[in-house]
Amino acid sequence: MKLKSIRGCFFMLKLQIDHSSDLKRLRDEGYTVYIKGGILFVEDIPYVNSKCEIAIGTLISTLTLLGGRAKYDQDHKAYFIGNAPCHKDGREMSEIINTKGTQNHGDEIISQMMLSSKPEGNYRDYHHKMTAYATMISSPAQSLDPIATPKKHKVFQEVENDSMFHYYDTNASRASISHIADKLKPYKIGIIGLGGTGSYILDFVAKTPVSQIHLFDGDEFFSHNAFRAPGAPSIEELNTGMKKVEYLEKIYSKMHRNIIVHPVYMNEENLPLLDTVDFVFVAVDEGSVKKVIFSYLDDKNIEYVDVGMGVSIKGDKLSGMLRTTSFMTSHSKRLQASINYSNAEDDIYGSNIQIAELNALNASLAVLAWKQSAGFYQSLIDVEQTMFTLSTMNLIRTEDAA
Amino acid sequence: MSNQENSRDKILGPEKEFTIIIDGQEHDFNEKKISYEKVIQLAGKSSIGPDRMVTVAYERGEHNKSGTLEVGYEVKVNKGMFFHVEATNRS
Repeated sequence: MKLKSIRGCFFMLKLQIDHSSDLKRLRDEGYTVYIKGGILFVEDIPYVNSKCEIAIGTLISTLTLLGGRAKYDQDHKAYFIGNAPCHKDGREMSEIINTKGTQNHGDEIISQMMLSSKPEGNYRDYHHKMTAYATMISSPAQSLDPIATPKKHKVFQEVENDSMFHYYDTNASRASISHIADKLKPYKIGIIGLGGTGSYILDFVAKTPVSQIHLFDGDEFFSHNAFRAPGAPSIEELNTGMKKVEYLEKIYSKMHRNIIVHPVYMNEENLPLLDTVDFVFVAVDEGSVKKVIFSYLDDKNIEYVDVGMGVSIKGDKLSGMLRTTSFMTSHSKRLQASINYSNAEDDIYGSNIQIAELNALNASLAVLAWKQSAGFYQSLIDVEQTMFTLSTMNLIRTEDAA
Repeated sequence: MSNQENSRDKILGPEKEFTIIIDGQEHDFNEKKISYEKVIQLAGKSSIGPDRMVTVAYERGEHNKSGTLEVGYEVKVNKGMFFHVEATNRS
């Protein structure tokens, strides 16, 4: 069993402030600026509150990065952590306070209001934006007390990055859904079978902040696998003769820091490798091993989703079905009786037709099922199984009878 | 099914035999219900034992119902109902 070492990330964090001229300028001018959870912070903003007292607040902004550098994305909104900033006389700055109300930005970052003020033609960069807000908010404080300035010139310790990614998930932070994505953080995921469907499951799961991703597959990555896996390997890459799990880890470890490979076929002996995970995607071709896997996971109360597709030739066209069956602890497991436990060599129909977009769709449906159980997506109906019928483009649901 | 056909059925009574579609092929059927075993037989496929389950899914059933049909069960048949039969075990 090969363990992936966690790569250092403090280097990455420093790089961003130093390599972004606008962020560096903010720091050089003495602002308490840092990045946490993909959000730009400017702390130590003095302001006047409604009681005409001087208080200290924090400005935050979503951040867009291009090649590791901050690139202002025309989003002029900012958020404030503190009470409503006021003018010298205690009147609220209603001209810049857009909405009051707590907003969760993920990573326990909570703001109390949203600010909106835009010069003609929008801000030039993050320096322009943050200094504009900082000045608007702190000027009244400074007029009451000349030393109340946001430019503290603090010698700043970079915030530790405990993120699961090598670079910030600004997709979540910019859309302000980091607090929803946070629900996925505690998961240790297992993917058994990294064939067509399994590899797409990995593609999607690697883009979530789960704490570990374990890959189980003893197969090698052949050229036919390239036609139903995400991405596009070169002839040279195919010729290196890697195992599927190694080939995929090489790609996805560029993004997710904690992918652990197990280049083995799951069988009775190595079932205990699943003890460390709390959710499993079963995407194997060999049906016979499914029974022991299901039984082991049921015993350990580990939830799982099983996928399987069947595509056949109808005349000169293809048709088929994609099955996604959830086995959550609340489900009765009666659907285990309708799973096909046969192996490839026993398949009398002799067809193993898999097409990339079908593998991807099956993988998408599996990941959706997991994320619904995790509370990431709303789930109004307890769906035990979805069956996509290709010839009629229909998604047939089986609801939990309980 | 158009409104005209609907009311014609009500006046003349339900048709004795109607068409159902299994894996894209039309079949004439004249019973009220169809079983899992009958569907896979008409589809020209067969399960070999309890470990080799083939999935049967249906659409446009009575009241436009859709779902999966499991071994040992049957479902009410409707004119123009779709059935899909496939071993959903590849990944």
